[in-house]
Amino acid sequence: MKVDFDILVIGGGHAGAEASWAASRLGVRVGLISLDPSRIGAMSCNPAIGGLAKGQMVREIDALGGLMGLATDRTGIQFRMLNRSKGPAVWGPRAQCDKYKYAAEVQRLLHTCQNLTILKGEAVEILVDEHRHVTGVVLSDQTRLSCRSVIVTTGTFLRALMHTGEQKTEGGRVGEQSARGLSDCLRKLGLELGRLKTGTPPRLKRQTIDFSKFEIQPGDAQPAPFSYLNEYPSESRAVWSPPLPQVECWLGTTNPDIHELIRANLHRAPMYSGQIQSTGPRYCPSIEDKVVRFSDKPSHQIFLEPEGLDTDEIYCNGISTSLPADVQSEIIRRIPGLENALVLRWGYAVEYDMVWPHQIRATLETKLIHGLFLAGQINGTSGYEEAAAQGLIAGINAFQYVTTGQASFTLRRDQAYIGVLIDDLVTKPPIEPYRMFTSRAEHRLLLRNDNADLRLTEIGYQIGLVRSDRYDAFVRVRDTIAQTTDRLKQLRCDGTSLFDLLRRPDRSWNNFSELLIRNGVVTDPHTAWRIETQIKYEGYITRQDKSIQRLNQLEDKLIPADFDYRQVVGLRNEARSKLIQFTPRSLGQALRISGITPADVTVLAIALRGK
Amino acid sequence: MITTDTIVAISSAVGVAARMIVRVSGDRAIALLNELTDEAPTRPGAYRIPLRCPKALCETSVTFPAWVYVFCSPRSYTGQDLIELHLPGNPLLVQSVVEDLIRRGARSAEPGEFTFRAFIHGRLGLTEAEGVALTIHAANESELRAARQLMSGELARRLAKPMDRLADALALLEAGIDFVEEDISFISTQELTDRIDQVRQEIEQLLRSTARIERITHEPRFVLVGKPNSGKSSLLNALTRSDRAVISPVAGTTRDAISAQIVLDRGIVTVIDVAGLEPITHDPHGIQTQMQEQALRTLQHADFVIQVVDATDPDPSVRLPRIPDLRVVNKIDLKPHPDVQEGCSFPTVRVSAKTGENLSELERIMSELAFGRVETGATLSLSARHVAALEECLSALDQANTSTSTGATELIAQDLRVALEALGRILGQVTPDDLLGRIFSSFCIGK
Repeated sequence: MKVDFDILVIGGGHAGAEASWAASRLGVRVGLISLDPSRIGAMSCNPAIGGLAKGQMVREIDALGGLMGLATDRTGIQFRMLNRSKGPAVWGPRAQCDKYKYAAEVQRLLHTCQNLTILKGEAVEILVDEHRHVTGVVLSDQTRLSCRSVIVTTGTFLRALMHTGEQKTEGGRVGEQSARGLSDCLRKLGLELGRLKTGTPPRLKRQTIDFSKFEIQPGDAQPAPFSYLNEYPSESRAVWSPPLPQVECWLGTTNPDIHELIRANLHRAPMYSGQIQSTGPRYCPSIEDKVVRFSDKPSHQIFLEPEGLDTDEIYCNGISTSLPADVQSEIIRRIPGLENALVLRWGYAVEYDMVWPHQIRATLETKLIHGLFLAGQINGTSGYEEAAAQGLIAGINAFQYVTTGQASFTLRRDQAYIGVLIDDLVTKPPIEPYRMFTSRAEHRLLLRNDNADLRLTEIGYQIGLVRSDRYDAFVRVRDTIAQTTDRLKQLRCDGTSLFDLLRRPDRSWNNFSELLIRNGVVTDPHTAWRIETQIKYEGYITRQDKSIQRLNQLEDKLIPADFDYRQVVGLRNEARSKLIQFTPRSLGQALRISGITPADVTVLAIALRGK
Repeated sequence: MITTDTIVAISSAVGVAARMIVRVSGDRAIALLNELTDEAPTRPGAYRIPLRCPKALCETSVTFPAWVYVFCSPRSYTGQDLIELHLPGNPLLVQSVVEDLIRRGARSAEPGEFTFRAFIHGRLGLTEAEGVALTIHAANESELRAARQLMSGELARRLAKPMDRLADALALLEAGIDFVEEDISFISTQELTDRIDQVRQEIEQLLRSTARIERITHEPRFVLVGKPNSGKSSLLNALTRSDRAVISPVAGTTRDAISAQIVLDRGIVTVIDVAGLEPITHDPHGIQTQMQEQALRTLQHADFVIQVVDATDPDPSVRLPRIPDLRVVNKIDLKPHPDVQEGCSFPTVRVSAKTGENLSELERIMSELAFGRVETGATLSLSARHVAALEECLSALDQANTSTSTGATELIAQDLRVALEALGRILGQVTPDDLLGRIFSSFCIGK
């Protein structure tokens, strides 16, 4: 049967862009449906990419051949490596981006995908045949597009409702509409929906701010790129430097006077007046939340971050709020340096529909509908990076689904933060918008920002997403690392191998540079640093290896999707109902569902073997 | 559920027998045997060889004889290398051997795990699979029940504080890693070191003060006394559910003190059935006199004395050098209704050793005497699994202390995580979400 598209992606945010990029580059025909194609790749909230754990995820996306790292490197206007005072395992790259240039770059990259068509419209219905296979999408103008697979990446747009004080506006972003029909359609297809809340701070006009009252926050003197393509040694450049001019950010604080004002106006805050019932994130509270919950704290930080080079907009990080405009205005007026600041856009909270993620598999395909994939905030996450990571995985799996009939691509918890993210989503329904933290990863010392390519690029190449230019450069670096590490094991200094010496916390590559050069061991400084980092963590990682191997034994034991838990002899009732609810993909995943004991998994293993 | 590592368990039935069996299955089974003896066999077969006494029991290198059965993969019950240690029926010794094996790298087996391995390796047929599943199910249920009891018990009470301290320290450390841009100083190295030390002391104290250690030196001893033919031996047999003591209707059948270990709900006690304390009729230096003297000595050294009387005996009293702690009226099957009760300063329980009537009540009272009433000052006893978990926690804390000197936060966090997980295996896991909850409730995180 001839179809219009192999895959239709609904929504052009960070998940949708990444999904479209991956699937179309893998070679199938993809249509990207956007309410407003000029807003594809928009940064709705903070004009920054990366941070702790999130930065690691962007590196992983890049190592697999995704687009987020490329777009960030091209449009970053301040690069900082967070946590540099701690060990490299917990360094997190972060970049402030020019948000207009970022969106434009994402759109430019998508235009290079020959198999991708961008469509303007609102998807209102997903068509499904009698075998519960996706067959197409209906747009609000009644256009019917046929396809084999659909990826829904609607972000905050599903039945979106914005709140600024008592004022409520329908829409997923200021000045944009809300997607209403799709929520009903998903519910009719049998999916159980939930509702979450997130918020954003006001934006100020640059020329009206007295920056002398703020502390300057510069970027790194030597910015590190997100994309390995920009990191690998190249003949055309010695060290990568950002193509855009670099700027500064500023740091200020609130004061008790402001907190008093907020307390006096709490009854007008939707989160406190009862106007908003849904749950917001604990890690990114609104300023009214901070003042209430930490009433003894005299001040809170405010980061002023430019939203771009050619724009007047300044993002007020730290005072996300849904208080009414008049209160916001007064808050800002009382911040030293912002006495005369002009507000370009008020802060707001937005409520939106999501789909409880126990209804998706680790491939991000819904359990109910064949060929229907969900990625991004619709699965209860928060953040551009979390969304992009899911978009990439959904794109790969939708491609597998339309070409082989079976989606099967997943990453394990010891392979990538992306693996941790999706595994958490499908085994523990989120109680708040899910954001990645390094503490969520039990294999944190292994999942470093410096080694994402060693963990994932080979996999990306096997899938077909990593092209030969990247792969060849990767293989050169990988081989250098392996060969040099071998040499370090052979070379000795006072009877001890350099490898063992480098494991000590007080020794570094530079201690042995002469000896190394004399023995012909020459690498560029960055690769040398990577080798050293790997060696430093090696002892700890070896200790973890055993538990990883054990874990993987369970991960490899897959449970068929149609497995009937009611037929399993000896399963406790509580375990049975949990397993039916979550339908885990593997025994390993089953064990991570709360309330499932190792004995339950053993009973399950017996039943599986009996099949 | 992992089928490649080496597991260990006591696999003789619960209770005390002349011999107890410890089973070890997995790749390292034979290597572990090598660590226990200088004469480790490598070929399949049965061997009588000396095993080194576990350090916990004796500091010097003492050995004791044991039967060791070696089975090599795939010709064993589990299909893996398997050793069986048939040890003298001393629960302390056996538990120490298991703890020793765990310390050397074996893992305490999950419920039904040996059978599961047998099944996985094709040593059991499919038809038996459901039986295996049901066995595991039952074991799981009882383990969960036990775990729930544990949660409300003494061990939970004593672990709660160190676990909480550890979780707090880890949360603070994690907060310092994940929320670096917040203007908060999360925890100083000194504070951290102090907390780690405190937790370590608490765990060490716990290990020192538990019944595991006490039991090594002492096990409560009960002595049965009573007139000849009052049914002491049959009572002992009924309690041990064996025919250990020879019984006959002829008075004075028991010639030597016979002892047996009895498993009560909260621990093991020794019950000694002494030769009859009948009045000596002749020959003051003869064998009867010697026996009576020995009986009296045993009586003086016992922790508890149980007077056994015959319900059908119209004159049950016998003069004892010590006031009994409990009176057992036996043979109530023959005389169901007591005569008018004479005043008595100690508890009485009416049983029938023959029919088993009221024996469980007797066991309950004995357990209460031996281990105190439940709730009040119950002695805490730790299983090999608990000891292994606590020791793993300690070694991770040591590692963490080493790491604090180099100041690498992420490495210290890793060690604390291992330590916390070890405690979590006893009382339930602390998940990253709990840690994040701790962070968000104590710090204003907001960038």
